[in-house]
Parts: sequence; C-alpha cells; structure tokens
Amino acid sequence: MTLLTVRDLAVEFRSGVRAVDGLDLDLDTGRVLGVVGESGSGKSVTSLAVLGLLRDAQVSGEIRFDGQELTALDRRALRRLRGNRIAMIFQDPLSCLNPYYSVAFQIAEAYRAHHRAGRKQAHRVAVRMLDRVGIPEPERRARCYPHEFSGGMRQRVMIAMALCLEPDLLIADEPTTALDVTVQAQILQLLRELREEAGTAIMLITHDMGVVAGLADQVVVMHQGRAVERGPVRDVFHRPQEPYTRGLLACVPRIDGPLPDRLPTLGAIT
Amino acid sequence: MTVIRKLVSQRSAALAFAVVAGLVLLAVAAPLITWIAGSSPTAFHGDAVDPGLGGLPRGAAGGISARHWLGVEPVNGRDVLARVVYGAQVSLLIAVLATVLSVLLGTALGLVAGFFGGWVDTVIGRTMDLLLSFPSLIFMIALISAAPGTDRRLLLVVVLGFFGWPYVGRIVRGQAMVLARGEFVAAARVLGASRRALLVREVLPNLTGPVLVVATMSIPGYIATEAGLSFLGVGVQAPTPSWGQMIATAVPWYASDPAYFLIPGVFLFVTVLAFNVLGDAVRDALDPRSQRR
Amino acid sequence: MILYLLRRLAVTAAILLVICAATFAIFYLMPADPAQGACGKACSPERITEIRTTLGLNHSPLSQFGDYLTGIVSGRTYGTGEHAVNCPFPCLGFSFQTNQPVWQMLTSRLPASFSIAVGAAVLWLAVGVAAGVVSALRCGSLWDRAAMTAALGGVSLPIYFTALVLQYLLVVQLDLLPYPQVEPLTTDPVGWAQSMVMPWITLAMLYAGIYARVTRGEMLESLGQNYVRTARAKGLPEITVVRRHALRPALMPIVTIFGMDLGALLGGALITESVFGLPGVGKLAADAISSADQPVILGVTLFAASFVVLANLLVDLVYAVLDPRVRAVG
Repeated sequence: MTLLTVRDLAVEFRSGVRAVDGLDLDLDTGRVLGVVGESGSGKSVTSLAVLGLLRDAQVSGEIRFDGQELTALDRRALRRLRGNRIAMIFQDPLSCLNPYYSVAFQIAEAYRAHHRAGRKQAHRVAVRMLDRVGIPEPERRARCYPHEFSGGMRQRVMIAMALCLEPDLLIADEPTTALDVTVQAQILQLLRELREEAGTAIMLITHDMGVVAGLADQVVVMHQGRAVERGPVRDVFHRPQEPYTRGLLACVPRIDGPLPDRLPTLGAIT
Repeated sequence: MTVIRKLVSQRSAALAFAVVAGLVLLAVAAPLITWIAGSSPTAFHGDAVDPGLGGLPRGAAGGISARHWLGVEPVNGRDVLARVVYGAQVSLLIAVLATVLSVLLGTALGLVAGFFGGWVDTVIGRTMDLLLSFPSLIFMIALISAAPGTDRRLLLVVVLGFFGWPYVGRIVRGQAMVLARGEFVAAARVLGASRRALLVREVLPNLTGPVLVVATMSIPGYIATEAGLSFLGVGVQAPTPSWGQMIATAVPWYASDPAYFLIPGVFLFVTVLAFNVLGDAVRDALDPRSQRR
Repeated sequence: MILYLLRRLAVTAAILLVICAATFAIFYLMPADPAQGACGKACSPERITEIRTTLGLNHSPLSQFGDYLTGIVSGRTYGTGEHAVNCPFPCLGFSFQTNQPVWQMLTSRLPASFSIAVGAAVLWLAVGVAAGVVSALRCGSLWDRAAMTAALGGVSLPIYFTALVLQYLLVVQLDLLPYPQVEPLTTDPVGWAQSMVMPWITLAMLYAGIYARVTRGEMLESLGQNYVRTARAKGLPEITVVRRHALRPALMPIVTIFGMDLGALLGGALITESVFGLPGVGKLAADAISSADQPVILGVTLFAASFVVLANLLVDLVYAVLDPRVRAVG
C-alpha cells in the first residue's frame, strides 16, 4: 500500500535558489526508500518539505501521505502529524538535542505533544524507549543530559524520540554521518530491527551508497534537485543506468574490490 | 575602503556617518563658528538676562536671538551656541583619546597574553577580569575627585582609558589565541620568523577588523561617561564647557528655562546615537556572522 | 558543587580585598588632609594634631589599612581614655559632615535605592525581553525595525537628560505627578509609587533598550539551532518551541547581565537619584563627593563594589544551577 507519494515537488528559496525541481517519490508501508545524492542535491530539503518545516521557501507540487494532501493542511493539522505519524531524525545528534533538558524530558515532551499523559507516565514511556533503543541502565541514564552521552548514544536517543509515538513514517536524514564506523553499523542494525518489529516505513536520506545498500528496498538517486535514477536497490547497484549513479557507486571503496589509486571525484564523471 | 562603501550603502549608517562628520566639523571649526556668530564661550552677557526674574534669559526659548543663536545661560548670560560647539570639541577629543589609549593598552596586553600564554596570560587575564568586575563608574568618581588640580581633561582620558582597555584586551586576547595556533603563523615560524616578527607581521594585521569594531563601539560609551562624570561635577570643570556640565547647571532651571537643558541634551543624544548606529554598522560590515542579526 | 562554591567564595573575598585596598590607596593620593576635613575650616593646629592621633593618621598607611579592615570585620575604637569613641561592627568610620557612623548612613539609604532598582528592573525586563523576543520572531519586519530603532535610541539617551525631559513633561507641563520624594511604601503606597514612576521609567528606557538588543540577538541565535528544528519536527506547538527551546537558552546570557546591572543599581543609581533628589545610596555618594566627605566616599565605594561583586558570585551560582553543562563541571 502506498504511504507517501510525492509528485512534481519543487522548492524555491526566497534567494532564488531552486533546491528541488520536479521530484517524484513513492514509498510503500513498511518499506525503506533510500534517497541518495551528494550534498546540495536537494535531498534534505525534500525531507523538510514533507514535514512542512521549510522557512523562506516556496513549495509547490503534491505531497500525499496516507491519502492526505500535506501541502493543503493548515498549521495545526500539520503539527499533529509531525512526530506523531511522521517522525524525523537528523545528523549531528548533539546539536539536535537541547542541552538544557534531560534526554528523558525531550523524549517525554514528544510523547506528551500528541497524547494526554502526565509527566510520570510520559517519563515511563521515555525510559521504555531508551531501553528499546539499547541504552544500558535506562532508568539512570534517562535523567542525564545530552552532553553526558556519546555520539552513538545520542543518535539512539534521537531514534527513541522519533519512535516513541510509533510513527508510520520515519525520515532519517544522514542518521550515521557524524558517527564512527562501528557505531554506524550499530545504528543501522537498530533501524533495521525497528523496521522489522514495528513495520515503520523509512525514508533514508544519505550520500553514502553503502548505507543504502544495507537498509533500503528502493532507491532514488538525486542530482541537482531532480531524480536521475530510481528502482530496486539491487538493480540500481548492479546495473546503474546513469553515469552519475556509477560515479556515486565508484566513490564507495569496496572491501572485496581492487583498491583504486584514488577515489574518483564526481566532478570528473558528470 | 570596502568597509566605507558598505557603510554608505546603508541609509541609516550613511546618515549617522554624516552626523558624526558634521559634529567633527563643528568641533574643529568651533573658533570659526563663534567668530562668525560673534560670541565667545566664556564672555558674560549681563544684558541678555533679566535680574528681575532671578537671572532668566530675556526673550523666548532661552533667549534665542540674532546675537545669541541658541540663547544664553541664565544668570551670567554666556552664549549657549559657543559653549555647545566648544563642548563638542571637549567631548569628542576626550572620547577619541580615551579610545586610542584603551585600544593601545588593550591591543598590546591582549596580544601578549593571547600569543605567549602561560603565566603572562594568567596575570593579564586575571587583571582584566578584575577590572571588568569593578564598579568602574563609582571608582572613576572616587579617583577623579581625589585627584588634585582643576583641569581634569587629561585625567579623564587616562581614567576612561584605564577602565576601558580590558574590553579591547579581552577580544584581542581571544583572537590572538586563535591566530597563534593558526596555520599561517605555524608556517611563518617554520620559516624561521622571530617572535616579534610573528606578532607584528602575522598576528597584528589580522586584528585590525575586531579592534576597529570595539573602538567604534566604545566611543559613544566614552562620550556618555565623560558627560555623566561632568554632570556629577567630577568631570570637565567650568569655565571649560562640556555638555554634561551644561546639563548639570541647567537642572535648577529645568522648569523655567527648559531650552537650557534641551539644547546640550539633544546634542549629546544625537552624538551618542550617531556613534552607536555607526558602531553597529561597522560591526555588521566587518563581522559577517553578525549580519543576520 | 560544594568545591565550586568554596572556590567562587574565595575568589569573591579576594576581589573584595583588592577593591578595599585600591579604594584605600586612592584616598592616600588625595592631597587634602583628612584631619583638616574632619575638623572643618576654622580649626586650630592643636585640634588638628589631636584629630590626627584619634584617627590614627600618624601610623603608616599599611597599619591604617589594617585598622580599617579590622574595623569592618569587628569594629574599632578611635582614640583612648575619656575621648575614646566606639565604632561598632561593621565600622566604616564617621562622616566628616554629620559625625554619623557611615554604616548607619548607608543602611538608612538602602530602601530608596532598592525601591528604584527593583522597580526599574521589573519594568525593563518585561519590556526589553518581550520586545526582543517579538523582534526576533518577526525579524526584518516593520515592527522589528521600529523596535530596534527605539532600542538604540534608549541606549543612547543620557539618563539625566531623560530624567529632566520626563520631569519637565510629566510634572511641569502635564501636572500628572508630584515632584519626586520618597514616601515609605508601608504608610503611603500611592505616594511611594508616584515618586518612583519617573526614576523607574528613566532607568528602564536605557536598560530596556540594551535588553531588547541582547534578547533579539540571542533569540535569533537560538532559533537557528538544530534543536529548535527537532522540537518542531516533534510536533510541539509553536509557542512551546519558542518558549522552551528558543527562549530558555537565550535567557542564559541575559541572566548574567541582569545580575550585574541589578547589583550595580542596588549599590546606588548615582545619576538618577541625584537628579530626582531621592535619598538613596547614590545620592549619598554624590553629596559626599561635593562636600569631600572622605569616609563616606570610601564607604559608598566599598559598599557599591560589594554589591557588584556579590551579584557576580550570585550570577555564577545561578548559572551553575540553570546550565546542566556547567553543573556537571562544578
């Protein structure tokens, strides 16, 4: 069943920059859609446009979520949707968490924004979520502040915050970018498990083809605000049609492949 | 020069720049203006005041007339215009010299502290912290009132500069610390440049921007503080004119001769405002980070 | 946390000592003979010698400073035998003009200074912070530009000028208020409020300008933070996003400057009190300066400095409570 349909999406900033230009996306319930492209290709802007979080920008086109046209919703209805049915996690979790509040408070806050729940009840939800995303000693750690956590733990907190309301769609914008390689693998494993357990659809935004290969079912390759190639991950990886996609793939060093003298740059290919 | 072009492109900054330029002109041309107007800042005009009314100026609006363009002081009848333009001279001179002094002290000490670090940094840093947490206004008053002599202009410069340098020093120190670890300084060091050459040729030129910003932004503060001290009777002493002192002498007359406090007050307000606008504009022009503010 | 507290207390005590020494040193630079000041104009040389002995002016500066500090900590006795004058703790000496103990003069002036400072602070915090927040939320709008122009005007207004203009308009021209004069809050609350309105507005115009500018800058900074985006993405109502995630961090620097400003004002709003003739600590200082009443000047300087330094300490402690990152370090 189709969960999210984007048709002819265009985003133009007040400065005149056209970040997204005629983009189509389709995401089914419980599936993972990888959106890849280099920085500036418009993938993050797309995710913010879906949530209606863009400022100083003109958004046109259709964004249909579970039968609702998001661009037609008023601010109130859009707010009820955010966090509750569409949740988002970002890269650099340290700057995305407010340093002045405990992690449990920030998770509970998301829960209470959409549920009638007392502080205590919301706190229990937060502790349960921390436990679920693999934070050891969740009851003690719940009262800690973001600066007392490591990078990987912070991203787990962000994921706990996003998933405490059991959203239908999780938008993960570069969820592993600022993290160490081993921590990256843990976070990806966590996302994989959550998807299998809760059936959450994920829109995975990344520049890293390796991340997409590990998690996504479908993939869309973006370049300069447009989709240049799309299809099942297997097809796109094995039989890339576009030179740009081949370039992106060539940027991923392979453990089993021959070691190139130097990684190719995209400028040389496109 | 790009800074000036940027400034002029903003309407408010251009206006402020014009006002400041006008004031400087007024101060520099004070002797010429008083010569044209045929007045002097110190001459008494007993005929311009009415002893029957306790010395109130004759005529409306503080005695404004063809002879006295901005009126006269009550009781002794000194020409207000002459005192205002000579007051501008005093105000601007003290503020500019105090700025120069604080910039020199602040740059030198901040540079040494930030560049060399260690115990030098500790001593200078602590001194700056101490001076910044001092209740400086009351200290200035105590210090100046304790000092001998009646011509306090030089003393004002020294005191203002002394309490002002830590603001410059703090910024220079921070910048110097960053620059001292910068790559181009490391490169120069590798090339065998001496410490002195490093400081003067590599670090100092990179500080002109921030120092210019603090300097511009501190001038209105000095003008206001000088006027405040003069208002309280510890600043510039009569017969040397000063705006703050003029307003102070106008206090007993505020109900019967409002023009007497309004004229120097408006001059003081406009001057401080113009410098503040200019300071903001210079900061915006030189510090890209603050532009969106 | 306790270690942090002790360290801060030690630093505060050290700063106070330095301020004490600096103030005392200033008065040694003073050419006027304190004995002459204490005695008045028509004074016999014998009397001056006598006073010199009583005040301990024959001792070395260092031992005089020691005596002064002892006086503050535990009180002291001037002179010996039948002429001995006891000055109880905390002894800051006696005024040359009125012969009253300086400490008593200071404490009797505190209520007026408190009334002025606290009332003005409430006013400027409310107006300044609110204007700054709205300006930041509507950055670039007509309101923003108007408010920031007004704020810059407020910052540039000399206090005594504002005071005179207000007094001229409200008292002389419109006859809305009586001439300022402190009425005790307890017996005449209306008179008290009436006498305070102009000093409050005068001070608030200056400080509200400063606070509006700082608040706007800090709000713009915090509104651009990633955690504000996170808060919106969670589906929090916009008012909660602004209040909890943008305003709270923006208020931290404001706490700092507010503590310093209030501390400075509690130690006497020198100019405001002088212009309106309100009997606060600041007026005491201004009067003492014009009459060269050294013990009072010395006392006021120390007194005001203590307020600033203690406010500094308090700010640091409040900061440690409010900011979890500082709390953890302490």
